[in-house]
Amino acid sequence: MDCKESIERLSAFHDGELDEHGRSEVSNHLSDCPPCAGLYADLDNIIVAASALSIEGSISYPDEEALWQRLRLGSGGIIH
Amino acid sequence: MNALGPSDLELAQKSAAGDVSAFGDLYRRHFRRVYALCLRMLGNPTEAEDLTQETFIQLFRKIGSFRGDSAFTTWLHRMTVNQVLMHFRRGKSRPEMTTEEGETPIQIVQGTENPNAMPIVDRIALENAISKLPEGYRTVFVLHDVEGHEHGEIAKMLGISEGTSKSQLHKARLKLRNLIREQASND
Repeated sequence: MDCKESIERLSAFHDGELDEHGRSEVSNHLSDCPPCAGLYADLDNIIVAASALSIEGSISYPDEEALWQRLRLGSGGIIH
Repeated sequence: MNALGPSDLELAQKSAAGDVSAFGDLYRRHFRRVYALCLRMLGNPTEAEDLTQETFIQLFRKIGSFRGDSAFTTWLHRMTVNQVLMHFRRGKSRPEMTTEEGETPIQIVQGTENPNAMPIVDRIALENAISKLPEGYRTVFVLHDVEGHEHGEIAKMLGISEGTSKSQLHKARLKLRNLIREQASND
């Protein structure tokens, strides 16, 4: 397996979508190829960080009450 | 009613009977979650605000059909995703559903000799990078890696094949990784 093939399969490898042979091929390549292993580590970090993102996270929210007033009274609002 | 106040189902039933105050309570309870999902899927605060409003208007219209068979948050989450997808389909902000070959070429910059070069993905850097993804990539990434949907569900929601969903996700992850590295090298 070369690096191009390895890179194409990294997500499938991470997500457990490869069969045993495929897993073994990628795993062996990562053992022998530090750059691909580094890329895999980066992807794994991103996936872990994404799963830990609280949906309400560090977002700057609009004014809740102003939006509520728009929602109640604006065009198409719930109060006609 | 419990110690925490009326349940979502109780508020939904009152809302369905026309109680705007009860609907206001539901809105305040779930506003942040709906807005955050819209923002992550759209990557644009103004559009996210508009879609949050549209979602709650749709919620008010459909609230009578909530029977409590599933958690209210799950029901509202699905409604929010559907509103954003309808928004995409209307063409106001169409997601880039790239082909299997991908419309956005991704230059793969491999890791360094040190596999620990990017040990921690800073949360703000990740959110910033997500907002810069092409919409099609962002939609699949948010639904799968942030929201935890399976490829089968995503494929149904987006009207694409599971293979395309997987391909989009992989390209999104690679592009995110490049974006985060670019950001880090600019800091």
